[in-house]
This record gives sequence, structure tokens and C-alpha cells, in this order.
Amino acid sequence: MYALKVKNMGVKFKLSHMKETTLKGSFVRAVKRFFAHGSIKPVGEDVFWALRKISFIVNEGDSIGVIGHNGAGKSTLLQILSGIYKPDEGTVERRGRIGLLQLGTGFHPELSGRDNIFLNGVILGLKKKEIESLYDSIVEFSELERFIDMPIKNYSTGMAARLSFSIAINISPDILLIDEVLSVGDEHFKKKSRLKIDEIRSAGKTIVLVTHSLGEIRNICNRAICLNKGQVVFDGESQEAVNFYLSQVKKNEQKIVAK
Amino acid sequence: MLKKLLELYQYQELVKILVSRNLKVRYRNSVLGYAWTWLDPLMMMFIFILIFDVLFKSGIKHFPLYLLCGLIPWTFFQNTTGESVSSMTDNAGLIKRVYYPREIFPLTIMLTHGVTMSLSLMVLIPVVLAFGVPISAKILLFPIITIFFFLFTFGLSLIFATMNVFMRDIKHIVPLILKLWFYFTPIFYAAEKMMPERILDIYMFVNPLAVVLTLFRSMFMNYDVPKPIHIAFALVECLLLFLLGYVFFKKNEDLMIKRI
Repeated sequence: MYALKVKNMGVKFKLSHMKETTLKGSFVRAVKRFFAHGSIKPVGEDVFWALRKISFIVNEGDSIGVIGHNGAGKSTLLQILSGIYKPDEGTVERRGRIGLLQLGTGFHPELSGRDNIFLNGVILGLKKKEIESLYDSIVEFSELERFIDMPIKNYSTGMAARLSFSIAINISPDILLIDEVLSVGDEHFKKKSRLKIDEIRSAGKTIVLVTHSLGEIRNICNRAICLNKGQVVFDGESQEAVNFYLSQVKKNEQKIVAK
Repeated sequence: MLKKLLELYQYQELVKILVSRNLKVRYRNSVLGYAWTWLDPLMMMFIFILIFDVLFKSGIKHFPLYLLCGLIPWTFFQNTTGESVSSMTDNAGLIKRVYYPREIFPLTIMLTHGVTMSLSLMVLIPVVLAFGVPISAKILLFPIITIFFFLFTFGLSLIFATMNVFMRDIKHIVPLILKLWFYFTPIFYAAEKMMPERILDIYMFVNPLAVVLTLFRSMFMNYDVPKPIHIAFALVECLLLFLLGYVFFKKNEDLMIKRI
């Protein structure tokens, strides 16, 4: 049984869309183009494929690592898997409830920690009653009992990250997508998080982990995918994937030295 | 499209919690917080009474009531469309967290102001009675008229919110449009008293809000009902604007997420 099935998937962005545009700006640019080229249409190649021709299957209970250089498309991949972006080509199929864990949380700064737990729970697809039954364990895990009625805007970065982490793992999604957040909090909280992740894993849940820490890949994942420039360059056992990635890094270094 | 609307229905719990979140933030859990929402319409009312009733005789019966019956729905319309413009860009943090129908943001803004409007209209009823105006059975039309008014407001909000993602200066343009629209709408004047019939027909067709506000006055202060043809056109326009806005929003949704 697969949890995630990605087939020939690609997602593109337009470079001209990467900056904020305004009505005034678009108008001015169109006029400039008209005088320079005689046409108001943009010139030149504008499309950038963040990911292309990606195919892989994640089986239920698998823990998959995703590694690659900055800009290889790792975070975009997670956003595709979670359904935030729709692929421009190919398909993504999911089975089960998805939880996405990333820095820069979806909290409302004016509301208290308590209200934000409910807000996030509902966004992640839970009923109010379900959240009520999970509420105590979320607060307990985050160790924020004393601050839970304070507005989030008064939380420190670490406190907010701890709360967001507690929500994501206590809500027990079937597929947990993690974007570089296992290193939040102090040593004590990190250790606790690691134990919880192990617990989730042994409960047969699926994990997709994006990280730059090769140690985490080796410890948590049984399989890993190596991304480079939006394409899968390696897919296999996690230790082999790490070795492949390291050899790539070495090659790049040699190239730079040779130059 | 029906499927997508049904999907929205599945998220009613989220809509509920977001609306109560908005109300909470706005009113800070206090009765006095609600009183703030009256400040703006009341201030406008006193200014207009001074200008158009005391200085220039408007000749409209129960002028304060007439103003309030126009200002309360107008305030709802203006706040909803005005705040929805940047609803997609402001909520980027939540939008990029997990998938759910994104029209929820303009929708919750509208429902929040809808609650405020309904409260204000309830407060208005004793005032109407105090003026010696009887409450007529027309008030039973309130749910139907409100639904169409909501559809109109929602459609326009969706269009503004979508456009603002692609052109970030739309949020500066919308307040200007709303300001002009305010003067173009019969809030402190009575259109049917100052226009010849031919022009009134065109006016009511171009500005369905004029019809809606007149209907609110018929319901709450026993004012004359607009001509049936005016009502029919306005309701069709409300429905069309909603469909247009919804399709426009949904068509651009995926591209929007990439650009937030």
C-alpha cells in the first residue's frame, strides 16, 4: 500500500512572477517594451521548472529523507506533497491525512496559544471535539502551560516553534512532512522530539523528512531521495544516498578549485 | 463548480472558528468593543444630518433613520470589500501551511461583518419604533435580500482579492473606488425623488446597491419598495457578480498561491 505516489510530476514558476508586481509597474514595463520591441509581450525565456519529471512511491510506514543543495527543490517538493501547490504536469496521489511541519508557523499573533491550537487543528482537518481531547497532550508536550493564554506575539521564537511542533505531532497525521525543524528548541526538547518521532515511526506512520543534517537522515530514514536542480538524481537506501550526496558535494568542490 | 462549493461546505468548522477569531480580535471579548463598530456610522449620520437636514432641507421623512438604514448595510459592504482586497496576501502564512479552499478568507471577513451588520440592524429596530414607524411584514424578506446582498459583496471581494495578488497596488485603488461608489449610492439622498424616471431606471440598473439599500429601507422603516423590474435586475446582477467572482478566483487560485 502506498501513502504517496508521485508520477512524472513537475512544477514551474515564472521568473517575472517572482517579484511583487503592481498595476503601475506592469503598465510602465509594457510601455517600455512597446517602444523597445514594438510589442507589449515580454521577451525571452521566463519559465523556471522548480521540479520536473519526478516519480517515486512512498509506501505506508516508510521514512523517506530528501537531501540536496539549497535551491534543489526540496521545500517545493514538500509543498507539492501537502497539496499547497498543484503540479503543472504529472500527478500526485495521497492516502491519509497530511501534516506539514515547517518554520514560520501559521499562527495568528493576536490570539492566545490556546486559540491557535484550535485554529491549527481545524485547518489540519480535525473536529473541535478531537482537538479538545488532544489539547492537554499538546500543551504538556510543548511545556508551555504557563504561557498558553498569552497572545502568540509575546512568545519567543523557540516557544512558538515548540508549540507548532507539538501540534503537528500530537495531531498524528498519517503522513508527516517535516521541513528542517527537528533542530528547534534546546537539547532537552530536541531529545524529546526525537523520541516522539521514533514513536510515530514505530506506529507505522509515514514520514518525509527534508534536512541538511545527514545524521538525521541516517538515524531516522530507511530510504532517501537526492534532488539536484529539480530532478531526482538518486533514490535508494539512506546510507547510500548520503554517500552519493557527499560524492556530489566533493565533485562540486573540485570544480570550484579547478576554476 | 458545484463540487467546489460542496468542498467549501465541508470546511464549515474552519469558517466558524475563523469568524469567531475575527470577532474576538475585533471586539477583544468586550461589549464596549462592539460599541466601536457604531462609531463610524453614527459619526457619518450626525455629519449628514447637519449638512443635509439642517443646512439644506432634504425633505426626507425620518432622515436619521433613512441615513442609518443606508449606512449600516453600506458599512458592511465597504468593510468587507475593503478588507478582502489584501486577505490573500495578509494570510500567506496560513495559506502556505496546508491545503484548504482559499476563498475562506474573503468569506470569513464577510461573515464577520455580516454578524456586525445583523447586530446593528437589531439595535435599529427599537430606534425605528421610537420614531413611531411601525415594523411592517416586509422585514420577513430580510434573509432573502441579505443572501443576494452577500453574494454581490462576496463576488466583488473575490475579484479584488485575486487582482491584488497579481497587482499589489489594487489595495490602494479599491478605497478610491469605494469612496466614489459611496457618493454614487443613495445613502444621504433619495434617488427616486431627484431623478426623472428614465434616468432612475438606468441608475438602478447600473448600481444594484441602490436597489439593495432601498430594499433595506422598505424592510426596516416601511419605505416604498423599488419597482419590481429594478428588483429583478438587481437580483440577477448580484447572482452574476457572484458567479463571475467565484470562477475568476478559482481559475487563478493555483497561480495565486505561487505568487503570494
